[in-house]
Amino acid sequence: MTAAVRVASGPDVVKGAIRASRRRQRIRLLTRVLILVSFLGIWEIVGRSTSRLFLVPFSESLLATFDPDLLRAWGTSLQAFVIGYGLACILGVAVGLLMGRFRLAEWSLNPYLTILLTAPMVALIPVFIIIFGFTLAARAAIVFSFSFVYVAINAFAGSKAVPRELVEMSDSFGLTEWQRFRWIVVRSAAPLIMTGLRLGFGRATIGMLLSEMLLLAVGIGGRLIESSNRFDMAGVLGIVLMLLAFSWIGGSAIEAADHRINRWQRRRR
Amino acid sequence: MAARLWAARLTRSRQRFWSHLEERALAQRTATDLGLERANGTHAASRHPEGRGNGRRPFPRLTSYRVSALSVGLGLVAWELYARNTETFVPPFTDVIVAWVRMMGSGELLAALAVSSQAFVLGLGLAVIVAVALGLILGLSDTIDHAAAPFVSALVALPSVAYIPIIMLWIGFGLEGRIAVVFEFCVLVMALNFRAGVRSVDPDLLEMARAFRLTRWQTFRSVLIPGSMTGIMAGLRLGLGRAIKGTVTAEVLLVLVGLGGLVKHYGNTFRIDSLLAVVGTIVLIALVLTSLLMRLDRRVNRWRPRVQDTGA
Amino acid sequence: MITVDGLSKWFVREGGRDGVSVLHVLDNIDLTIKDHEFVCIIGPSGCGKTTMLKMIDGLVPVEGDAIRVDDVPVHGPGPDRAMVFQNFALLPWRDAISNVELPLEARRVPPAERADRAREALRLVGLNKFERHLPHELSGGMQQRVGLARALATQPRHLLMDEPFGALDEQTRRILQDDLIRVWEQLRQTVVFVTHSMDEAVYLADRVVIMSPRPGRIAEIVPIDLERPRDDLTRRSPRFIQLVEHVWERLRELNVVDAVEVAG
Repeated sequence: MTAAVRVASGPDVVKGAIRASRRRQRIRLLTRVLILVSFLGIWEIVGRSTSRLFLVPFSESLLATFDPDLLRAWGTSLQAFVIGYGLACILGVAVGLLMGRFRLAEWSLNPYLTILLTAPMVALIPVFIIIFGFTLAARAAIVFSFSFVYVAINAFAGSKAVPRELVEMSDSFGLTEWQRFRWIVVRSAAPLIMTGLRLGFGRATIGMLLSEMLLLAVGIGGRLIESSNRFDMAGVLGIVLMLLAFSWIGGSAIEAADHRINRWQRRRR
Repeated sequence: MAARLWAARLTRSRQRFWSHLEERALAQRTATDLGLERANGTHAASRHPEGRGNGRRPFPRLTSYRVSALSVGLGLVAWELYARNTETFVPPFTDVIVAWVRMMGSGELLAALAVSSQAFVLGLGLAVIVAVALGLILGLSDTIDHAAAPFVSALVALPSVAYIPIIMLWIGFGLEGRIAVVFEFCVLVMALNFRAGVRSVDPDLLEMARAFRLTRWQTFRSVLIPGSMTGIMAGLRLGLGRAIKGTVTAEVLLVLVGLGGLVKHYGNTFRIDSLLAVVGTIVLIALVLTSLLMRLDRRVNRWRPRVQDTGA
Repeated sequence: MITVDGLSKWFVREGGRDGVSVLHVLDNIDLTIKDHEFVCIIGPSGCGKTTMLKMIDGLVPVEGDAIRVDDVPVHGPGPDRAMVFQNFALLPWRDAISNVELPLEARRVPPAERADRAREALRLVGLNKFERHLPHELSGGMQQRVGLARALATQPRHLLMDEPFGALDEQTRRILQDDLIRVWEQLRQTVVFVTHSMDEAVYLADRVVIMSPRPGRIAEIVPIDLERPRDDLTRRSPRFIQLVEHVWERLRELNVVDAVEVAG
C-alpha cells in the first residue's frame, strides 16, 4: 500500500463512505472540545457552589497564577532544574552509550543502575541536604539523581537496538569505530535516547518539587506546600495548572526534537 | 525433536552471550595468528564453534554475573575506605550493616514495614482494578481512546507529586490519604501499559478469529487476554515500583509513619547510617517483589521465546 | 460454486491532506469458480488479489451481492469456507492441536469430538507427532501445516489460501505444494489460492487468474492443461515451462509501474 490514489468519481457507496468518514472526524474533534468545556464548566460551577476548602472555581485558580512572587519562585526552582537535568542528560547518555559499547562497563554498572532505578529517591533527599547543606548544589544534585538513571538506561537500551546487519555492514565496508559510532550507533539509539530524555524530564520535575516540598520550602514546590498548609485551594490549583503547563511545554519540546531527529522512523500512535 | 533442537539452540545462544568477551579475545588471537589486522568477533567465533571450552585460561572466565559481583564488591570497599579515611557525613558501609542489625533486633524496622505495607497493598490493589478497567476500555474502544487522549496525556504530564497537596486537602493525612497517594502514583502507568498490551495484539490473529467466527467472549479469552499478557505484566512491574515510591513519598510528606517516617526521622537527626539501612531494606523488598513478578511473568507467558528486558 | 459478479472495491482511509483518501482496489471483476476446482490468482503487489480473497471469505465487507458462494450472497465469514493465512496466524500460546481445535471450539463441538477431528486433520498434514508443540517450537513449514490443518478441521467446502507459502523457503515450499495437492486430491474442496509465484500457480492450479495492477482487473484466465497427478517430471515438461513463460509475458506487460530504465 503506497501513496493513495485520488479518484474523481466513485460510486455512491464511496461518496457515502467519504461523507461518513469526514463526519466521524468532526464528531471526534467536537467530543474533545465538548469534554474540555464541560470539565472546566463543571469545575467552575462546583467551585462556586461548595466550600472554598474543597474547591475554588477554575477562573480563580487561573487568576492565582498571576503573581510576581510565583515567577521568582519559578526562577529559583529552574536554576536547580536546569543544572541537574542538564547534567543528567549529558552524563546519562554518555554512560548509556558507554555501557552499550563495552560489555565490561555494562556488567559492572548494571547493578548500580538497578539499585538507582528501584530506590525511592525521596528517601535520599535528607542525605543530599546533610552533605551539601541548604544550597543550590543540593537541589541540583537531587534533580540529577532523580532523572539520571532513566536517561542512562534508555540510552543503553538504544545502543543495544542497533540492527546487527548494520554493524556487520559497517565492518564489511571498513568503517572506523568513530564513523560507525556517529553514523550508525547514535542514529539507531536516538529514538530511545529521546524517550529517556522525556522520562527523565518528568522525573527531574518530581525531584525538583520534592526537594523543595520536603525540607527547603523554597521555589515553586515550597509555594505549593505553603499554599496547602494555608488551606489556600486557589493557590494550590494555580500552581498545579502551572506545573501542567511546564510539563506539557517541556514534553512537547522534547517530542518535537524527537520528530525532527528521528524523521526516518515510521510512527504509530 | 524440534523441541530438543530449539532447546539446544537456546542453550547455545545463551552460552554465546555469556562467553562473548572471551570470544572477542579469541578472535583477536586468531587474527594475530593469521596476520590479520582486524577481525570481527562473531566471524571468528563461528569458525571456532566448539573451540572455546578447551585450552587453559590465565584467569577465571568473565561472566556478567561475576563482573557485576566484583564491581559491587569493589564499590563497597571503596565506600568503606573513603568513609573511614575522610572527614565526611557519609558513614562507612559496615556502620550501615550494624544499624540495620540493630533496627531489625529492636523490631523497629518490622513495625514500620507493617504500617507501610497497609497503604501499599490497598493502594496498589485499588490501582490494579481501576487500571485494568481503564486499560481495557482505552485499548478496545477507538472512540473513547481518541476522545480521552488529550486528557490522558495531560494527567500523565502532571508530575505525580503535584497531586499530593490536593490529596492532603481533600482526603487528609490518614491512611486514606496515603492510599490515595500510592494509587495516584501507580494507576496511570499501569493503565497505559495495559492499554498498550491490548493494542499490541497481532491484528492478523484478530482477523483469524473473525474468519473462524469466534464469539466476542472467545476472542477476548483466547486471543486478546493472552496476547496482551506481556504488556499487562510489564505494567504490573512498573506499577509495583511506582507504588513503592508512592508509599515512601506519602509517609515522608503526609505523616511520619512507616518506613518513610523512619527515613525522615533519621534524616532530621543526622543518622545517615540508619537512614541508609532503611533505604537498603526498601530496595531489597522492591527487588524481591520485582523478581517474584518476573517469575510469574515467565509462568504466565511460558509460550513466549525468552526476550531481553529493557526496564523503563 | 463461487461467483464473483461485477465486483469493485474502494477503500476510504482517514488521514492525508484532505482528511480522507480513496483507494480504488478492485474494478469490475467477473469470475466463476466451479466446485472442486483449484484456482490460483496471481498479480503484481497491491493488485487487490488478497482483498478479493478476503472478500470471498467475508473478512472485508462486500456491498450488495457481488459475491455469491453456493448462490448465497457473502456478508461475513461462514462455516462453508476456511482461510489459510499468509503469516500463519497461529496463537503462539496454544500448542498445535489446541490451535487446530480453536474453530471447532467456536462452533461448540464437544471436546472429545473436537480432539478427534483436530488429530485427524494434523495426521492429514503429517504433524500427528507434533500435537503438543508450541508454534515457536515448529519450523515455518510446520507452522503453516498447522494453519492448513486448522482450516481442514472445519471441513470446509471451499478452502481460501492467502499466499500461504509466501513466507517459506523454496525447498519447504515445494514439499508443501506436493502435500497440499495430495490432501486436495483426497478431499476435493474448491481451492482459491493467492500467490505471487508463477511456478507455484501453474504447478497447482486448474486455472490461473492473472490480475492487472491497481485497480485490479482480470487480465487473463489461463487454463492449465497439465495432467494430474503432477510431480517433479511435470515441472520439467516443456508444456509447464511454456505456461510459466506465458504467465510471465502477461505479467511483464502489465507490470509497467515497477519497470525502470537501466543504463548500460
